[in-house]
Amino acid sequence: MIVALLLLPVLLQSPVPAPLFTEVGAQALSGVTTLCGSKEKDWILEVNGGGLALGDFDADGDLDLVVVDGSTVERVEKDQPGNPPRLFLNDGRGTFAPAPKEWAIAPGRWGMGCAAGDLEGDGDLDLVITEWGRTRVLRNEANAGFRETTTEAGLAVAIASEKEWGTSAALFDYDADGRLDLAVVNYLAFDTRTIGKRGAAPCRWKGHDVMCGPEGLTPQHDRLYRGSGDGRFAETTAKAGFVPGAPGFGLGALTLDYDQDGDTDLYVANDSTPNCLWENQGDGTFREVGMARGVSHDANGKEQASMGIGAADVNGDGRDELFVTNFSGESNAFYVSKGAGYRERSSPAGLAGPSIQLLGWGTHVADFDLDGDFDVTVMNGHVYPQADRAGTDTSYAQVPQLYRNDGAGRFRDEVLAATGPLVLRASALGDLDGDGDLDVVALSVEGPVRVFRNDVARNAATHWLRVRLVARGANRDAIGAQVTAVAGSAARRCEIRTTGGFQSAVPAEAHFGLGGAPKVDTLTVRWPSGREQVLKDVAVDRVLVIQEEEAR
Amino acid sequence: MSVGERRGRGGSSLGRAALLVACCAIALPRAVAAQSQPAPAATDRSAIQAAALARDPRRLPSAAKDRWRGFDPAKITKDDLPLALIEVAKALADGDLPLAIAALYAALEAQPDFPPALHQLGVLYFRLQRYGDSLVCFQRFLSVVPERVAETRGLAHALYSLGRFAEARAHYERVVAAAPADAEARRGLALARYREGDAAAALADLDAVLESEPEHADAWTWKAQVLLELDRAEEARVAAERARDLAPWSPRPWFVLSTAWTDLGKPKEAQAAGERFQRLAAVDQEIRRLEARLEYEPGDLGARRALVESLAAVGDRNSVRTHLARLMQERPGDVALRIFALDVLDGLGDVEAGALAARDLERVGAESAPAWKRLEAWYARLRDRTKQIEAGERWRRLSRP
Repeated sequence: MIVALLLLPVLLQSPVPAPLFTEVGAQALSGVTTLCGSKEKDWILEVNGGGLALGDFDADGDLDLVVVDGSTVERVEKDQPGNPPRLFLNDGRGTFAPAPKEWAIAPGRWGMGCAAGDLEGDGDLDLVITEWGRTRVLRNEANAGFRETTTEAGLAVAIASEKEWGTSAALFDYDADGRLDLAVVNYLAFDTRTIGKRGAAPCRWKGHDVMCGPEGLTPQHDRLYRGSGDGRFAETTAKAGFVPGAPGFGLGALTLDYDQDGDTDLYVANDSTPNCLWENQGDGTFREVGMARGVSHDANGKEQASMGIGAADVNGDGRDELFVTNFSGESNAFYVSKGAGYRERSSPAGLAGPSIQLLGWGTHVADFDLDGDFDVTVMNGHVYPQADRAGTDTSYAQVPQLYRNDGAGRFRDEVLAATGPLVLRASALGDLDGDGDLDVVALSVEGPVRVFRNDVARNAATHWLRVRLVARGANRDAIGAQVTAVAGSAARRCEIRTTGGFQSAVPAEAHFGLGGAPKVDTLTVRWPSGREQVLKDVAVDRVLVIQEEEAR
Repeated sequence: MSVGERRGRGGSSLGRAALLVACCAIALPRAVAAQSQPAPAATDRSAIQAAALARDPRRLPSAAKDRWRGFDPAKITKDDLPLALIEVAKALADGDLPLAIAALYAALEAQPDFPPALHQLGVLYFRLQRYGDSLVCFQRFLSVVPERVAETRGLAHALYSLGRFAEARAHYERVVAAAPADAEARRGLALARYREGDAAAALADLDAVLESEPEHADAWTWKAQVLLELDRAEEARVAAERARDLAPWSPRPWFVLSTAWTDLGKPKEAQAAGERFQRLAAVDQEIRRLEARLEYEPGDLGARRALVESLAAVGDRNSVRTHLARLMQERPGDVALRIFALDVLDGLGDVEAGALAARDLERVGAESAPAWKRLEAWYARLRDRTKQIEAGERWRRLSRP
């Protein structure tokens, strides 16, 4: 009796829910690790980690994984290559194995991020890899292997001599000619001969010696290339007006039609400099409107150190919200659509406070618990190993987060999985095991690649629908298309994009969590061509592939 | 995301810790009989600073229970007062926060939980943006003198800066209840409520702050921001313009003003305000970086000189004066630095401070040709022909081989 009374307060407490995700990397992606310089991070080159691409490279119906790996400064100084990017093939149940040698990719200088898309409109998924060195193109040879076509693609000529530091890349059809174009986000000019090493240069953070940068270093312009639809590109950076007044230290990129005018815009997250929103003018040129639209700074008008970007129409007003991860001491930003622009509302949404002591990287806005509203995942980890020293208010390893939407505009902070703190960077999401919910793959700055399996409990209130589009023309994956699902009184909209996370590529598909809706009453596709296609009474809990109809 | 406090770019009002100042004013003269140690040499000082920054306030010794209950600075005795507080006062006067922290640790080891020292340590950690350590100190302070909650707005500031908005709001409420006239606590309460999504309550708090301090530029800026959240754009514009007029060098009022103009459907005005914001923000970022660096490394003259140049670029006269004074104090015989000071003040059109700098340059650079050349130009600008001629003669005389 006494024991029962003593335990009563404990018993009356609401139980802590189990994390939604389980980390299964050891089984799903056994022994796969990456490299990114020294443990102590003496140089800024060593901190961002590599990239990930999720897509069906072998066309067998499931999502395969590309891991872009890094190098060390010592190897670079000896003119040795870094670790090669690697493809891992999915067995359909979410377990990956190294792809056969036909898929082998030659090592480059120091791999960073990647983008995936069908560059030639031949029905297979090609790959673009960013590096500290040059941007590379890997052509998919009829779903049977990669062949490097960087020189043929026209990228080697443009930047081979400049040692640009590409981070994120975006494939999209900015000029609406039906062919995929490419934007490469660049970080800064890095050279160990001119930048001081940690400890030898007066670069300090909270009183501790840390690696130098980005402040004090020189940013590099981002680049834009117009695709020819045959795997070749021509640089159009200046011609398209893709040159900001004040260059930023570019890290993240996300395509979206922010103003819903039918063309695709580009949002770029910059480190320690204002973020850019490149508004597509519909004539092959862009105008930078980040400040005017309220997405360049935080709510206080302070530039942030931004990394990853997620987007979705969280408030259901027909325009995507933007979620941006930032440095420790800053909150992550949540730009909510308002009028023609945005208003930063991370605090009232409950997304600010829990992020202040963390440093966020890969992020996704999606319906992870299939209850019909959008949630947020954030991969965290500091750039400074010295964050574990006295007085930093943060730590090097940090817990990955899931912010669960309460359906009323506020988010509740939960741990993503029972992993404890990790040092994560890039992330990509997709339904790895074909069970309809969205899983997440995340890269450690070095060490094992993590696979977070979504274990959302299934019941009558967790219906879902995945939609893949096959467009006419060379942009076969219909990047830029808008898909709207109306079920009962709820309308949910997704834009088809392959950008997302950080330095990563995600599958070109729309994913809808539908809650208790047993069917979708109306599914409307606005294709990049401008055509609209409507399906009625669509069955749920399946993958739906829609071919673009001929013009009527 | 620090809650900060109103700063003249030289230190927050929180930094001028009332409790320690009061305590030292009352009791230190009685203790000064014991001479303080000479200032440590530069290398020793670096080591002391580094060691101080590595300390953890959680490991400080504790006093006996209720040792300080009912503590009153006015009734402090010589025996209570740790001698190390003299070093604290000296280090604070020099703006050397790490050295002050070292001395505070010594004080708290000699006299565990001495409330003014705990409070001051919390303040200094806050200025160093070590909010977790600041919180520890303020919590400890409150635990040893729970009746002095009115002096613990720093505790709420620390919670706020760590993103713990609900706890910050709750503590601000306690402080405001104990000290209704504490405008900074009321402002903090407004910010915490705003962060929690209660814009209407935040607005009422900011109005209360502005009633007692109508020239509080930061409160006007926040009021404008909260009004925007409430879709009251015209009122937001008026508040932002008031903030802008009070702090023309600050980028934030321009940012909020730009947003207000956007909401009012005036894109040209929004763009103009936005452009002004961007120009100021670019410099402000550098100012923040240098200020943060100097809190940790107050002796970095290059950083302080760069800070003066940035502050001058945005026209922040008061802060330029503060940091120039600090530079002169650090380098009492440096003629080139005094010429730099006069250049900066001249460029700002700050005749009053320029006159002082000119006199200092005359004294320190009495035998320096470049000093008198600069002074000749200064007096020419002031149309003080007599002094211009004198300076010119001195320059020519000193320039002769």
